[in-house]
Amino acid sequence: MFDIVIIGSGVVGASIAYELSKYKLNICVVEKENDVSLGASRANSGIIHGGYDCVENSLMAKLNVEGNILVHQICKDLDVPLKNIGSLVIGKNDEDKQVINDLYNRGINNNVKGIKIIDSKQLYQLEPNLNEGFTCALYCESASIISPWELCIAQIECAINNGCKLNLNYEVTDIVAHNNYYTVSNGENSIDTKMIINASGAGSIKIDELLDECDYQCKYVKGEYYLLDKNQSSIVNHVIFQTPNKNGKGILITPTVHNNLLVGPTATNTTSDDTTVSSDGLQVIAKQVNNIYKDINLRENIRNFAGVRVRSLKKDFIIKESTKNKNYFIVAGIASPGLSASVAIAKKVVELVSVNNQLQQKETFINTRKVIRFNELSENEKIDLINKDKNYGRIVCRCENISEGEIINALNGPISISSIDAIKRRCNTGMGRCQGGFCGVKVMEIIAKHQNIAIENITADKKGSYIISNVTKKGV
Amino acid sequence: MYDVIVVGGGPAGLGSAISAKQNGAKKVLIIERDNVLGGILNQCIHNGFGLHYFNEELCGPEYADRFIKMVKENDIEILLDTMVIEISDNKEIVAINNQQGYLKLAAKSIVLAMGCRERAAGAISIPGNRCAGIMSAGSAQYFINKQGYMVGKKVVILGSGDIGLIMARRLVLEGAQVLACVEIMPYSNGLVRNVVQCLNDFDIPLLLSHTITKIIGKNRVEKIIVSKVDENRNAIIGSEIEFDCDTVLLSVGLIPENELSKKANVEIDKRTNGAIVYDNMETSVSGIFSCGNVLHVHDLVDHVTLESLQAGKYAALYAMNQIINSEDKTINLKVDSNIGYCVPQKVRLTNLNEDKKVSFRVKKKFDNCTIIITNTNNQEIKINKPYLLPCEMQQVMIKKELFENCDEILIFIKEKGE
Repeated sequence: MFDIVIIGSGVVGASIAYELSKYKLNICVVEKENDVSLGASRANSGIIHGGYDCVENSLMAKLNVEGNILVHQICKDLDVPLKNIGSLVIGKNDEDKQVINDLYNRGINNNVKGIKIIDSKQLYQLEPNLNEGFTCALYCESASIISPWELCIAQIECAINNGCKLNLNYEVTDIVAHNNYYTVSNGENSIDTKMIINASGAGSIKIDELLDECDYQCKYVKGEYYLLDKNQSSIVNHVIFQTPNKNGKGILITPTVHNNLLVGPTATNTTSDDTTVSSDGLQVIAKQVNNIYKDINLRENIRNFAGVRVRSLKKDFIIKESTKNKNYFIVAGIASPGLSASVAIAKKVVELVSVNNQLQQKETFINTRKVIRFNELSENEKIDLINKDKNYGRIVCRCENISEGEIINALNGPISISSIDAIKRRCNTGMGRCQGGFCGVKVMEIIAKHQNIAIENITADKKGSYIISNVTKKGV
Repeated sequence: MYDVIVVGGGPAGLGSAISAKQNGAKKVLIIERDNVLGGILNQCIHNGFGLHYFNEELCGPEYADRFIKMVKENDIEILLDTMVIEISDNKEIVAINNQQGYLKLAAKSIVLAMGCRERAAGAISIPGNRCAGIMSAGSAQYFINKQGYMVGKKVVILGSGDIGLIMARRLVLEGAQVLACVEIMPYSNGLVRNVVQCLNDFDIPLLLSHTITKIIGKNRVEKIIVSKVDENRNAIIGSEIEFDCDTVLLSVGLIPENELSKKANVEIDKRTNGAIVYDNMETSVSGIFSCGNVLHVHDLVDHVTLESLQAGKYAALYAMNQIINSEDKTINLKVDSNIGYCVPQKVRLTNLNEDKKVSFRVKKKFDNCTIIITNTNNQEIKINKPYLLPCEMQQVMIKKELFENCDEILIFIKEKGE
């Protein structure tokens, strides 16, 4: 019997698992995919927002601002890439200026630190490559960029190191409520648990329905992106937002922690699992980007992708215990700024859980994690490392200079993985301009050898994304 | 201290190392990231190599093997499985491998011969799913020819570059169905002989002025939509054709891999994505030379070899202090708007003691035309051509005399009746 089953291992489920693993609890995270972070958590803007954008007194505002502060320590403890580069909402005319003023006031009311309105001179000092004609901006010092999937992976790994279980490829298809516990099942194996936390992102309503729950409605909004080559990243220094107007927020432009440039997202209503990229969506982005920076060249695109964000029609996060089912907790409608708020959402969930349950902190909690990133080391560190382990001397991904040693570390990690993209999320292989054209096959060879599985069984990404169809005739 | 270090052990690297040695360099080193020499030739098991250079038809590994033997005979040092991570403009190289670890090497001259990479799916932004089953033709070639694995059963090839055409035939021979080769331009981007031998002979349709407008598939490609495009390469609504397939191979262009060149402050030509070079294949950085597909993308390995012999020779002469480049008078080679680029881009007169071969590519198809090379003194060379195609690199010899006493050379194409 588990104390808690967390359904979903996106950044919300991961943060909750991390936070709860500090207590004497028997926890199991179940995830329908073959790795963590495969929903919205891997396909978003990768921004820790300041918190001025959220409606005053909303849960969103409170948790965004709290999360923005808390996430720094977690990233430090767990070695997650985060850069505090600040954000700018840039404006052109009086109308924009008014909106920027309103955002500023909202930010002050939301208790956002380090925001100020700057004039055009200050703006162009911060962003010298910005097109001419912008007159003012809202500068937010506390905005950061982050690797969202690494935040997710790091927290799950830390939770596992502190005793939490992770069941991948476990899609919950049935939940039975007993008197004082639940049975969760995927049709093959059942798990008994005293509490359930539904953190299944775009799948939350489907899970709730298994218990005849759900008193909220959601809509699914697709955001499409261009991810540009590293040679574009020096054009932009901050997270750049356009001033929202009657047509919406428009696209944003931001450097990423991996030194690419990210342009997007669009916002179109869709279904919960639609991550297709559309020509209309790409055109929307293409029309806007050069109105902001004329130097950005979309021909330097290395990947387009789309993510689905789930918004509750109440326009706020839903974080509550069910009124029908005791000890069933719902964490739903975690739209933007969900990533920014995620670690604060986890704290909020711990509070909720502790209302009816005495939580006892563990005497020892392992709160460290170290990732070797060969490329970032000094010359002497590189020499020492190769001397210690020759695998660091073999570069596998030539665009990003990722060594075999780093790939083996990822494979030795607490989460059992066997896809090329799982390696990519952990050590950036194939993140570069060739997008794995050269290293993909080498990564497959290393996975096959290390995990002792046939190369045919290695997928590009999720289950079913096979790469090898069969063998050749072998010259016969 | 090495006389010449060659970065890359593919055909350009092999040729330049041999040439450097034969032209007097004593200590020559090839650094190769793979565990064998030969580069991409190792996976090119089809024939057609060597017709120009050896006057016989070889397959890729055979062609490579001839040069690998010469490298060994010429006492050239080799570092395999070794990745160069830094090159500085004072000709210091940092390389790492899993045997010697972290290596700092110095050379009197360096030849850049890193080759090129394939344009990836991202570069062409195809709408639809991001599922498995979309890969570059070269990756598929590696899986099939080197590893013995098939990458799919029903395949559509996007782009008609030579690797895509070669792979169309290869896939059919291995039992896959190749449903079509789809090319956005109104002409093939591969050599005519490859269109004939790899598509026509196997009844694979070549859909010109078409492109893939959508890829559908949850985890693996299940279906694609192909549309006809207008003269501006925009998809024509209503022209959609559906293909049930599990694989899309991309053959949509090659890009010289100059990340290391940029670290060494080598000036890059935006048209070729390769270095700007003088007539002796020297880049803007004194003592750093460039040749092969890292300089500009070639159609034939034989041409790569010939170019690499030049680069190797002049790298050796530089290392032996036999080139003095100071106070050079430099002539720029220019092309008109119908020509994409030319290599070399500059000629220095001081040491010019031979005619120079210039390579270029036209941007569109020409029939019955004349290549005209003229200098600022109105001297001209005229070469009549039955046709010119963007997929076929042109090479012309320019007489030494044409360069003398002029400021600039212009290459342009005159159409019949103009």
